[in-house]
Amino acid sequence: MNLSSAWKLPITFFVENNLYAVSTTVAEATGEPRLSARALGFGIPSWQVDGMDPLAVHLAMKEAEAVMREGGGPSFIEVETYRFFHQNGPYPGSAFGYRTKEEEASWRARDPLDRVAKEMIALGLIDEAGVADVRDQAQKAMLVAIAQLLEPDPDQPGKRRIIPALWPDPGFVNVGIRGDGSELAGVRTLEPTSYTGEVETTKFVDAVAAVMDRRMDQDERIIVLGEDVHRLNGGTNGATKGLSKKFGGRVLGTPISENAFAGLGGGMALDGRFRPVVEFMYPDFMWVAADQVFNQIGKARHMFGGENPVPLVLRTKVAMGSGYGSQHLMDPAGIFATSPGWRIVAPSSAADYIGLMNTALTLQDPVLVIEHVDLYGELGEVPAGDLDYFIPVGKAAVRRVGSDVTVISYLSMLKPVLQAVEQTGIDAEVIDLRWLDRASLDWDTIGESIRKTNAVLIVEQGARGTSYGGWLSDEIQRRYFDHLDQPIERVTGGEASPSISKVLERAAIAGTEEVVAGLELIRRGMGGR
Amino acid sequence: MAIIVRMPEVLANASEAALQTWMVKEGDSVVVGQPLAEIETEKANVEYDSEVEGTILRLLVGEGDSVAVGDPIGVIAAPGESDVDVDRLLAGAVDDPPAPTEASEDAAPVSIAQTTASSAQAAAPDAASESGERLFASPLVRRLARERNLDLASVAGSGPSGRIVRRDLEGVHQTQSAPRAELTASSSVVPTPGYIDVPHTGMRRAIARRLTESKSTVPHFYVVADCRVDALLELRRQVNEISPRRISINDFVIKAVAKALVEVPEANVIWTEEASRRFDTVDVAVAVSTDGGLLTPVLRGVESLGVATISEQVTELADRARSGRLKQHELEGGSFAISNLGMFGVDEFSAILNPPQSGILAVSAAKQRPVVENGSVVVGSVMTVTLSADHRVVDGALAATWLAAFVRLIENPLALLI
Repeated sequence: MNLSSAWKLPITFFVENNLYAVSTTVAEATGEPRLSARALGFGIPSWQVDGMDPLAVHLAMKEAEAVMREGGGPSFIEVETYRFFHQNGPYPGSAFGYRTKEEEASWRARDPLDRVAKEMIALGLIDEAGVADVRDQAQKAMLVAIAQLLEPDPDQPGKRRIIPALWPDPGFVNVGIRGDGSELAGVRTLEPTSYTGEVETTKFVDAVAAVMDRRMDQDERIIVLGEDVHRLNGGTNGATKGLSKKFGGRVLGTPISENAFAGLGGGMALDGRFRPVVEFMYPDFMWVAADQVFNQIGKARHMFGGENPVPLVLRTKVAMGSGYGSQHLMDPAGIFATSPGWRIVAPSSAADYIGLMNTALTLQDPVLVIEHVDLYGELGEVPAGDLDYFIPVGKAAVRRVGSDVTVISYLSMLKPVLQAVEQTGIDAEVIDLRWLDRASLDWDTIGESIRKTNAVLIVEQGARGTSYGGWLSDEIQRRYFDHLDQPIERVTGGEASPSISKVLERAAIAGTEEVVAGLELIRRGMGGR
Repeated sequence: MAIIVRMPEVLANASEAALQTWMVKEGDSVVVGQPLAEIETEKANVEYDSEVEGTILRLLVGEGDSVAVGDPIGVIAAPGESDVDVDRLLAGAVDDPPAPTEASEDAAPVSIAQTTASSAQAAAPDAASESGERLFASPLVRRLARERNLDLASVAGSGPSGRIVRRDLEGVHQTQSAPRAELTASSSVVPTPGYIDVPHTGMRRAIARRLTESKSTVPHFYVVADCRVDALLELRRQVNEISPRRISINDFVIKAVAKALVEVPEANVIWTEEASRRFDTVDVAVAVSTDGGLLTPVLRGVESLGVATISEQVTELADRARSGRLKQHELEGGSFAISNLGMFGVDEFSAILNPPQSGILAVSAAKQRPVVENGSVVVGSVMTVTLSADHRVVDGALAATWLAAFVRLIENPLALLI
């Protein structure tokens, strides 16, 4: 509501207040039982009308429409109505003892169907027989509809059942969690590790802004949403630098309301006319937006039969090491990887970022793009003058070839991993996953490496509990059990979320020293005398 | 907790044994089942396996030293254990010497408690290794062992908690053949002008010691007989025409020895300090020549075995003797032995008793010789056998009676098939 009010969106919040949440009354649940009063706090025009009177509702809606058409922004209508039955099933609420039969009878007397009939008869527009006809017609229509769906249940005489042939095939259970990626057919791919053309040096964060600039220029459906993305010369880190100046109405600085603007993005994605790019300033804010992020955006496609794509990019930056404290320093990969629907990319270099962002912005799926504050300032080589290449889904990069152990990592941990490998002298094969989600993981590269090394070390920076490596380790041990010569080892941060003290923050996260310890563990596991 | 390794009582009632060769050195980590030392017993050289896992802290006995059974020979620290006061441990151990098996049982729970330092390492394998029976090998190793048909029981694991890991398989052939490689002259020969010194192996020392002891302490005497074996050779030919496996003369000899011992049970006897021990069944040791020297695995209950079964068991024991896979108990017991050099064509020889056995029959080659039959000289197949007997329990008349029984059986071999 606040977002719609702030942005004067033409939207009406139509609240059917039927007085009950299962058995709990509105009066019990709030100190202000007039739900319409809430809108006033956001400066939204608001009406409370008799929901049992269709004409009153119609008139209120006409006024709300006028507000929207005049550019007055949102409006709010609370209609007072009643739930004749219990929350579910064919029995009245009074049967469960939380209200009286008298209360139900008094609302029954206000039945809007009867009221419309009575008023129309009074106006001479219809007679009793006509009303009966209409009712009969409606009931027949219902019976026809039901007959399409139900049949007598041969096992339970007198009962009906859903026609067996109408049930879906159980094999459909996982269909449509994500799209099939066919939208990427024919795109121009480029693999930075094997690129030999002309390069230029850029800061990681400049590549972030540059590729978005390029895409917004080429695709006017792209809308950027997030806190402060329109100010401060590109948001808090410069990741959206220059965009608001160039694409005025398409870079939207949001109120602090992740659930609201993520939800707005989700709606836009389902609608399909725009391609939302949502930014969470810190990954931890996904928790306040969890309903929209996980319950809606991630599930929507599958929930509605797998046909309706949800093309949305969610950018966020891991900030471990920045000292922002416990509620700002998580790595979201583990949570997203264990939730359905999301694809995840975690670029470790500017060149990868460009290709992966182009792919993310073309995919018809919600894609989480994880960035890291430590990477923003790093200089890297990117193909000169090329912001249009794609890095395919499910393509990891081998950053170092080795034979002793497969080290799997992503994002900012590649650098410490390579340093630790250098220090220990262990001949590690280092895989930069790039794609982290269940559907996009590069099992070919991982499998080939494990068959060679027979040992795995998964390295990530963040806290152990919500870490990414847990599910990956589980998957690996089942896929490659007969190729493992020792337990899969993992490097993660501690149990606690890194706190604001520099010392405790460092102690809580994994760095080069922790990777060295992990490699030494592997070395012990290799045995030999 | 560190474990004191004690000289095992490899043989029943043995009071001391010699530590021949250490197969580990201080600082090595060992796993359950890994050979610690070659220990010389009266019967053979045995590899003494570790009953615990851990690190060798100290070896207390030098190679070649003879040590009383139960005396400490080494100290093994539990996995992850450091800072062990060995001297104090040994001092405390003198009064209450636990048997080695008890010590290993004590050790396992402690080793679990001490591996909690790394949560990743304190996993199930440690707990399960308590039993000392399960073999811990990585999934990869188990697959490779399956594919390559390797016996992991003979592989020492060098991974955490003694887990057998990929690297351990890289040397598995060497691991398995190492003791045998030492036995062959080529690997350890030091060439010098005019001669070469082949260093003694444990087995060679054992043979030398035991036979010297036998020949110098057991009063041997010898009884020789010629056996006409035309009937035996013919019977063997017939048997081999229908037998799925080739039956040798020696198989018949073993059967004849057993039958003779049944017929003359007074000869089925050994000397002990307190008594003459007479046996109910016939266990016969069969000398097997291996690259490293002589081994005498024992065939049990021969009186009830058919010739074909004897043949089968002898072949199997000989194969394992030659590949170094005989168990100690298979080398123990028996009242009688057979040594056959017939395949080398010898006319006759005598053998040294293998204590505590009281008899050994030296069997030579069956050859055609002139023999007197009904007053005229004819050609017959003759095999000369020499019985060496322990005069402490077998007198001359008894030896002669037994040998006569043997000759009658071998010359009327159909009885051997009944």
